Amino acid sequence: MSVEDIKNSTIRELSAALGADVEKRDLKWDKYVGINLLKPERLPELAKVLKKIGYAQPVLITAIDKPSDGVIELVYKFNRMDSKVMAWVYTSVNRDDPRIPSITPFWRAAFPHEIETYDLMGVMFDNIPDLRHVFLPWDWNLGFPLRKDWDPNEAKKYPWWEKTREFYDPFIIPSDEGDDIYYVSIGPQHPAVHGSFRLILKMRGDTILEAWPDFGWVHRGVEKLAESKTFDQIIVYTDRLCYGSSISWNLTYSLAAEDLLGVEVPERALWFRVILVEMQRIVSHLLWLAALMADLGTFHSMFLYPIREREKFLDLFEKASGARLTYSYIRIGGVGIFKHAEDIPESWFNDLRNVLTDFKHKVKEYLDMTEASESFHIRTENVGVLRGKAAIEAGATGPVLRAAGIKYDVRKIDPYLVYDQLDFEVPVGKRGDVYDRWWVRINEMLQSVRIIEQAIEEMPKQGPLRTKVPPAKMRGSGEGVGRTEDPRGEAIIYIVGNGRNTPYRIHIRSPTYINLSLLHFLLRRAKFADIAAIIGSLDPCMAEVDR
Amino acid sequence: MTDPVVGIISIILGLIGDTLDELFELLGLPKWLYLPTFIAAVTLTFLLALVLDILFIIWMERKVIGRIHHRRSITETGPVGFLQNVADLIKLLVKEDVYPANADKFMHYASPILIASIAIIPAVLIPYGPQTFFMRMSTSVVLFFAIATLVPGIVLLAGWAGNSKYSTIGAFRAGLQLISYEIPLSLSILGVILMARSLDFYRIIEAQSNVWFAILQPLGAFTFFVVSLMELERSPFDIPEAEGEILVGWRTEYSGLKFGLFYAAEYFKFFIASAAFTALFLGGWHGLFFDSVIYFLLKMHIVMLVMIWVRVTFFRPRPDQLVRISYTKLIPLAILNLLWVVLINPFVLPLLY
Repeated sequence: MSVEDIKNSTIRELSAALGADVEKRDLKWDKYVGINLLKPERLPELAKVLKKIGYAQPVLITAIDKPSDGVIELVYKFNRMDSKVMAWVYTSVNRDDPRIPSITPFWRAAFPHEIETYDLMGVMFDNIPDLRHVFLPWDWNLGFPLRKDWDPNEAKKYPWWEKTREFYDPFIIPSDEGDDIYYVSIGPQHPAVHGSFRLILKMRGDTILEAWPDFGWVHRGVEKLAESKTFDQIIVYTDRLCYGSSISWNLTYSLAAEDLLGVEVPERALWFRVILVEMQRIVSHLLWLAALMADLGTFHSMFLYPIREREKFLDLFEKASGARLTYSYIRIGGVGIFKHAEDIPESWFNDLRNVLTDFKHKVKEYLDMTEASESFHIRTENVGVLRGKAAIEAGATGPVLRAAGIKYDVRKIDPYLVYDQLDFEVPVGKRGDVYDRWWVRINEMLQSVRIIEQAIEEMPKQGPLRTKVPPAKMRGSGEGVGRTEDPRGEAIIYIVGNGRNTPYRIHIRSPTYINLSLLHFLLRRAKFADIAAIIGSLDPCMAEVDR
Repeated sequence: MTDPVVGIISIILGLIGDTLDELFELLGLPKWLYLPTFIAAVTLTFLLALVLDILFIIWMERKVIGRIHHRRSITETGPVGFLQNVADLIKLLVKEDVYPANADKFMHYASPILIASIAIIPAVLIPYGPQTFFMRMSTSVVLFFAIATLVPGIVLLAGWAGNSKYSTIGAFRAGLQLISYEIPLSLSILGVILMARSLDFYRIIEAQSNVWFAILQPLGAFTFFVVSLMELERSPFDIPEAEGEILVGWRTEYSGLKFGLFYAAEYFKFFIASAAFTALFLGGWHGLFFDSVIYFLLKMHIVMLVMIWVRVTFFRPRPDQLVRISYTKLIPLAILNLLWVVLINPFVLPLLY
């Protein structure tokens, strides 16, 4: 079905089901279909229709506070597995008593988004199974931080210092359910959680009965901070969204900001951006591989081998941007200035070619250490299984979804930059276990090598690398969206502007946050020793979850 | 040809004796005190030698693992970083003694001492050379493994005394590991005992004067090697300590000197397990041209090198998988080895002794 057919049938089906309560909304993108829902209480009916006609996940739920109109506007974005069409549903709820029915009971993927919206914006979702604070403390009652009239000094009233012991004490969890049941608190500081989040486990013997992930230990409020910064200053925050994949987040934000500000990017910069983000994908996957292998044993030898190759890529990044971790290199209008050079020197490309050739040999070394070893197979096969439809239903994206057997990659479905001119494959797993996630990521690294090699050859040799955007022109109103395939899954940054040089609202969809909320399902009936393997296979990056 | 090391040892013993003689004469100490003092002095001397060897082993392990990891490992302190372990030891000694509020105080302090002292006892049962051994008894193999089995029991106590969930999980994992390796361990030694027709380490090593038991019963040697890795709780079988899962398991609550004692016990066990493998399967002191302690030590350190290599190569199995490996793979292998020994025993008799 073509894009137009899907859009038309969506509008037709919705009008048939909901009558005059829905109306078409004109968006500036042809590929997305906009819908205004006039009565928010009919949202579940609308969502059920969308689910029936092939929309896969509520991929993003945003709330925009509009005190001048006395409403909170909610934007639901539904994606499809087979097309780039997204349905954007706009609805408004009263600001004084924001209530809307939840769609979680029949669409699990909405759950993390809904509790986040409740947590930071205070929208009450009716019928949601477990409405609680996710990033804020569980007994927080000092207002909702993302609202425009919230005073940041409110946060000082919370007795942080007195609460510290209560939060960190693993003994506070009661265990009065019988002698054989006990509770274990993993984290917030624990090597298996790769950052800081807490996992509360209900166990019997060595088997996990229930698991509840608990986020928000290092939440910095990037979305709120960004509202007070100009568009070009926000780049620096996007670096810190994930220490493993800064450039990918630079790109996602730049795409969104360029979309909002109407900036054209030169052709050559698009190609160079592809090279950079694919290098970042390799770097991020190498870091993931190292961390997973360190959790599985081998006394850190498989930890150090990927780190060794990662360093070579970091050297190249350092030559280009001057930084090794937080690059701020992809910027609005193109890419940054090459360190100590007018243009990208040819020697940099030669170095990159050498590193890639070397890397392809080194991947064989990893396979000798992992795939050739029976001890690796017994730890990863049939562990943490999430397969097929269940993965879509739960909201997984990225390598986790592809390992579950779904061929969904934003680079193929909704190509950005110049991905439609590049030849690459999307590796897909079969069983959806830890082994498949490992397999998918290893093959993605090899595909990234392929993409970079093509991009080096086909990239225009001459031409500008950036469009200069004067600060006076960095103001925009309306909407802007950047949708990319982050190393960890589908990343979306959605910006709403109101004509000033700062965004009115910026929302970041963190793929890791959604993927980690799957732990509730993945850890059920798993063994205690599988925790490290399962968390590691999801590639957690806590800076991105607690954004 | 006689063992050259025997000469060195007799010189050392003579030196100790002479020093004590002069000391007793000088201070006018009573005669009955002489024997206990002499024994204590000799024991301390050999303990010092053991500690020096263990410092060397730790240094070797760090260097070898560093090479495998493609890094340089310790280089700064002392020549080629040899004194780094001494520096680490001093650091452990001067650390603050942290004691968890919920711990069982007596067991918390007793278990590190117990584990380090018990782990070293089996070292006296092994004959290192034809004339160089502490004691000879007809059932030394039985006593050796009986004492070695005590260690996981103390691990269980140590983890329980910490009174934290991670420690307890680690301690029970140690118990699980014990029940999974104990049977294949006994079965794999049985093959050697049947072939050598003795429970004495000395006789077992003598029986390998022409051909090693590792060649006559390779399955038994393999089983024993894997099982000793399990007993050592070293990677890949570091299940009770699994750093990525339960932090360091039963050791979580122990710091400073207590941690140092656990660390020492780990290397005592390492020393003893490789010595047992050398004695049981690699012909002990037998070597080219002459029999010597040197051969014993050389073989023992090569066994250690292989164990270090294994340590950085394989992934850690899950506790339930460990039991499965042990019961469905190692026990059948050990029984197969036993059948093989029974089958070839009449024919290998002329080869022995």
